[in-house]
This record gives sequence, C-alpha cells and structure tokens, in this order.
Amino acid sequence: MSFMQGKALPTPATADEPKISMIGTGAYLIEAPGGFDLPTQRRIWALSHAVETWPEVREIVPGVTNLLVILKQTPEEPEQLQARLRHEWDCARSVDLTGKTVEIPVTYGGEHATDLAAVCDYSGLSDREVVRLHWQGNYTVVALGSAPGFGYLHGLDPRIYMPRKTVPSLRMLKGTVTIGGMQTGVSALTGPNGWNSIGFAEMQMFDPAKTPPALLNPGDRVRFLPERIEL
Amino acid sequence: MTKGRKRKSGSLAEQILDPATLEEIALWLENAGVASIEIETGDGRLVRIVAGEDTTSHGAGMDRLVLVPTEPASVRPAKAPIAGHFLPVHPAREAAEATIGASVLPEQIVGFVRVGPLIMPICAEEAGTLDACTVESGDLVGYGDSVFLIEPAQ
Amino acid sequence: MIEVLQTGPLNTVQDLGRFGFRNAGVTSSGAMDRLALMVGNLLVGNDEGEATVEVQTFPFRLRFERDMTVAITGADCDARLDGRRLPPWWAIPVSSAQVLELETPRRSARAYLSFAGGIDVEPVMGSRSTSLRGGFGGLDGRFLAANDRLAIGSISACAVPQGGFGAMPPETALAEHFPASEDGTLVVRAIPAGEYALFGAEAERFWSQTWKISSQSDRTGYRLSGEPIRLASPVELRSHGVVPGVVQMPPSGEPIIQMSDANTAGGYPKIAGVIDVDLWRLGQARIGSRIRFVQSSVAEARGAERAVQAYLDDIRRTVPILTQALAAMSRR
Repeated sequence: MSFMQGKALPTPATADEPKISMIGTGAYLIEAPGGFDLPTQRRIWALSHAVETWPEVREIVPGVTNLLVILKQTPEEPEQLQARLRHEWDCARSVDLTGKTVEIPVTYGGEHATDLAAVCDYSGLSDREVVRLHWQGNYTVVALGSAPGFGYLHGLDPRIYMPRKTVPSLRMLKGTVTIGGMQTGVSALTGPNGWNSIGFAEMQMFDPAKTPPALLNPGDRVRFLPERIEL
Repeated sequence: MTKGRKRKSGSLAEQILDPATLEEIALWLENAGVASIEIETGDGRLVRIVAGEDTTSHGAGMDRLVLVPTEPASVRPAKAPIAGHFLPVHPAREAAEATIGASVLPEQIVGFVRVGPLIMPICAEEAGTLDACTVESGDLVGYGDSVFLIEPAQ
Repeated sequence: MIEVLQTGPLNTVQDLGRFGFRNAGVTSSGAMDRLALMVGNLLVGNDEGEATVEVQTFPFRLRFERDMTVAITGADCDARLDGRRLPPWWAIPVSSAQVLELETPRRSARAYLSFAGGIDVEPVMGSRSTSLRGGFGGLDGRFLAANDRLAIGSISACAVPQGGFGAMPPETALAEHFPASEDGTLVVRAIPAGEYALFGAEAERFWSQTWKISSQSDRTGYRLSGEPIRLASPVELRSHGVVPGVVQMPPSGEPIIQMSDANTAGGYPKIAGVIDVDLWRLGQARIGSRIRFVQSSVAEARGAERAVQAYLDDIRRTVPILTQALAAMSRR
C-alpha cells in the first residue's frame, strides 16, 4: 500500500469500541464498529499504516472495515498487545489514500455474463440499465483478498445489489466481472466462484513476476469502460 | 592440567594418546555425563577411557585406560559407531530393523545409538545371522562397543 | 539434478511459505509439516527453510543425477535406496544413478525430501513454495510429474557418514510438550476465536466430540464431519483476513480448518483457532482419521514453542559436531 501521499482527515471519534479477537496464537483481528463505509475504511487504512511498522508484525491484511495483524511469533503478553492495538485504533485518524485510477475495459453481456439475466430479474431492471449502472459507477478498492490480486470494490449502485449465489459456479473464468452483494470485482483466478457474472475483462489483475504483483491497491479508484456490450 | 604426567613416560597411556589429549577427553566425557568411551587403537586394540576426577597418586594415565578384550573369533560384533544410548528399535517404528535369529546383509542396519537429538545406525559388517544383543535398551554404549553378535554366514 | 521417475498427483516443491503478500490475496503456501521440513534441512546441513519436495501421494520414485545428500523426514514411507531399506527421519549420502523410492505410509500423511543445497527453482515473491491455485512458485506453479527434473543447489559438502544418520522424531523428542493421541484420535489444541460466544451452549459439543477428517480435505483446508454445530441465528461477517489454523463454521455446521494453502480472506464465523505450534501435527493427519479439539492458552502454546525451538537448536548444534567427530574417527 502507498500511504506516501495520504493526508490525515479529522474523524469524529466513534463511541463504539472495535472488536479485537484472536485466530490461533499469532493473529489478531480488529473489526471496526459501525457500517461498511469509506470513512471507516479510511480509518482501517490508517491503523494498517501504523501497525505495519511494529517490529513484531510479520504481515497485515486489511479487510472490509477490519484488519488482520499477523505476528512473527506468539506474544508473551497477549493482553498487552490487544491493549496496544486498541490504543492505536483510538489514535488512528482517517487516511485518504490518493491512489491511482485504473480503467478496466469490459465486454458486458456475452457468453461469460451467465448471471446477467438473474441480476435483471432481481433488480427489475433491463440488461441495458444494469450494465449502464455498473459502468457509470465510481469504485474504490477497499481491500485485496480471496485470490491473488482480487480487489473488493466499494461504490456499487444499490439498485444492482445482487446476493451471492447459494450454489457457486464451478469454473468461472479469470477476468469475469462480477457482483457479490454490495461489492463488485474482476475475478483473478479461474475456479469456483459464488459471485454473479455480468461481463468479462481481459486486463491482467495479477502478475507474480511484477513488483508489486497486484495491479490494484487499496485506495485505488476503478472505472469500468464499456468496450463492448453484447446483449 | 596436573603435574607429574610427564613422569609416566612410556606408560600405556602415552603409547596410545598423549596425556594432555587423554585428560581433555576424560574431562569432556565428565562434562557430557558419559562414563566411558572405547576407542580402537591403530594396532586394533580396544581401549576404554574412563571419565572422572584423577584420584590416583600416579596422576592421570593408567587408571583411565582399560583394555577391553576382543570378541571370540567365531562370532563377529556389530559395534556402536559412537558413544550414546542404545535404541533397539527406531523411535518412529514399532518393530526392529532386524530381529534376533534373522539373517542380515553387510551394511544392514540392526539397531541405533542415540546421541542427543540425533541417531546413528549400528550396522552389520558382514552377512550372517543376528545371534544376540549384548546390551539393554537405553544403555549407554561406548564407541566400538559390541552391541550385537553376528554368526557369520558359511 | 534429480529426476522424478514416478509420482502421484499433488506432490509439490515447498519451503516455509511466502510471506508479505497476503494483503494482495496471495496465500502463504509452504509445507504442511513445517517441522519435518526444518529437521530434514538441518540434517543435510541446509538452512532450515530450504525448498523440499512434499510427497503426499505415493508411490514416489526419483533418480539422483549426481552424488549428493538427501534427507527423508515426516511420514515413515518405508524408503528404499536402490532397494535398501532406510529408517525414517534419515539423512544419507547418495550416488549418481541411485534410485530412491517411497511407499504409502501406514501412519501420517506427508514426507519431505530435503537435498543438501536445496531445490534450486526460481523464487517467486520471496519463496520457492508452489502455489497450485495461483499457478506460480515451485516448478512452474504446478505439481510434479514423471520425467520432471529439479536442479539442486550446491553447498560445501557436509560429511554425512556413509550409512547415514537421523534425528529423533519430534513425536518422541517432544512427547511431553504435545497431548498424546487417544485411541488413535489426534488431540489438537485450539483457542476460541471471534464468533465463539455466538455458539452459546452448542460450543461445548465442538470440544467434546470426535471429528473425522473428510475426503474433501487437502492442503487448502480440512473439512470435518461430525454432529453439526449451528448458530442460533446466522451472522453476516464482512470479508476479513484469515490464517492457517482458523476453524470456520459454514452454514452446514461442520467445521473447516484452513491449512497451508488457506484462502487469504473469509467470512464464515470463526469458532476457534488451532495454536500454530500444533499445525505440523495436523498437517500429518490423514483423510479419514479422527481429531478432537482441546482448549488451550497462549501460555501453554508458548511453552510448546520454546520446546520445539530448543529441539531444532539442539539438532542444528549437534549435526556438525557429530559429522566432524565421525569424520575424525574414520580417518584414524
């Protein structure tokens, strides 16, 4: 993540405390109180930025309004560590990551958009409207995860909200443009996938030989360009 | 290093090892909590070095060296490759590599010696029948100690 | 070079794993039994984290194309070098053209082949571990196949004695620091995780029952089968990072333990987390075998971690002493 150009924004302190829990002996999950919104996410990024530099931290994994902190070894004083995390959250101010803007050309509809009809049924909108609402959106990369380089995008128009499928597609192609609940993204690996496909993008989201290997970073803006619409 | 060892010139000790080395080995054994080790001399004799304080009036030397008789010619020993604790069965296995009465091949592993966190094999030197085991499981054995007896194949 | 002569699917090159890219969605991968990998490397004189072959499907046969030293650790696969039986947890010098063969182990699941100098595949993002899902790392990001050849790095020859030598297996050496199996059931220590309290009285059955490792289990995770445990009302969690060892409870009520190829993110309720120091034992648990969870603490985990570290330090310290002593004796 690049915080170099991040500028601190004043954030009103939240009355609610974050939830801190352990996974095994070496990982701590901090979950922000409140809803899934960008101010909360910005505060998570600020927390990530601060905790990343702790000498005992091996990795940090920012999630959707939460942060997983993975330690190099089991702490001798877990309560003390939790207290420090809580304190760091209290001090964390919103960071506005001024990331890059990534434009992703998309073929909407067509052979890979196997769930477009279901999205139309669910929303009561025509396929043209669903596609238009999707490409007109301004999206922010909230976090990466689930597959190498996969970005969870915030900013979906609530009118095209679509719950995840109960029975996942067994072999969804890498590059499929999908909607999962209030999130959208471009699948990064070919395989089983529970999100709803509405299009396809050729752009390579991850290249292990590159530094950094992932195209997207938290804080980046994403625009989808309707290169072709096959309805 | 105590004085007086030089006077033991020509003793068994000095025929085999110089006194300083002998003393060093004895101290090392003591620190490692090992009672004794056996070494094989250039002329094929087995000599046992015993650890512990030098209590003799003659200084270090004679009392720390004990000649161990060699085995009868008919049976051949499978010897401990190093000093350590005898393991008849590998700790991750349920059965021994070779049981008494079984025929063994040259270089076949017949038992083990544990040295701290490591394990060394005790190997048959030639083909034959595993005749007997001469030490108990867990016993401390010295380098070159006979652990198994093997009846050579005809 | 070594050449794979025969292999089942899903045998891969693994080291201790790929760290620092989890926030880009990259799984750590790495050996399922990290302890066996480290012991094997120490026996052949490597740094503990060199790349090895993780063998989990058998039989597996390979031919050495030059003289080298190899160690076989982990599951006892009744290894044979040109037909000659080798003990488990063993290092031995081998000659060019010799063939090493591993059979299906009767207990435990995975064996590790460490070579003096390590397997010389190109590191990807700082690790030689194979990511099958990502299709990178190891040998072209895939599992090994017959006729594959792997380059072995060079290392100043360590004088492993001709008949080889071994390490005390951790199950024996560390017996007092790990719970004993009960009638063949592996006892795994865990600490309650984020959503534990939501399970209320149901949580008791998580600890009390014996779970079976289902056939839908692999390096990514183990699906357990048993009496389902369900939440009173379903919870919706936001996507968050997870680590190997997390015990998730999907709607089916049968737990999933994420393993070395664990997804980087998840959203199922987390009932517990296996303590890291017990993961190597879980990595050796076989499909169809049974496990039981027992509640642990950070203090208990730290105690076991210190014992494991002391065991590894002891091996690291003793290997050169032993090999030098044997070399000195053989010169006499």
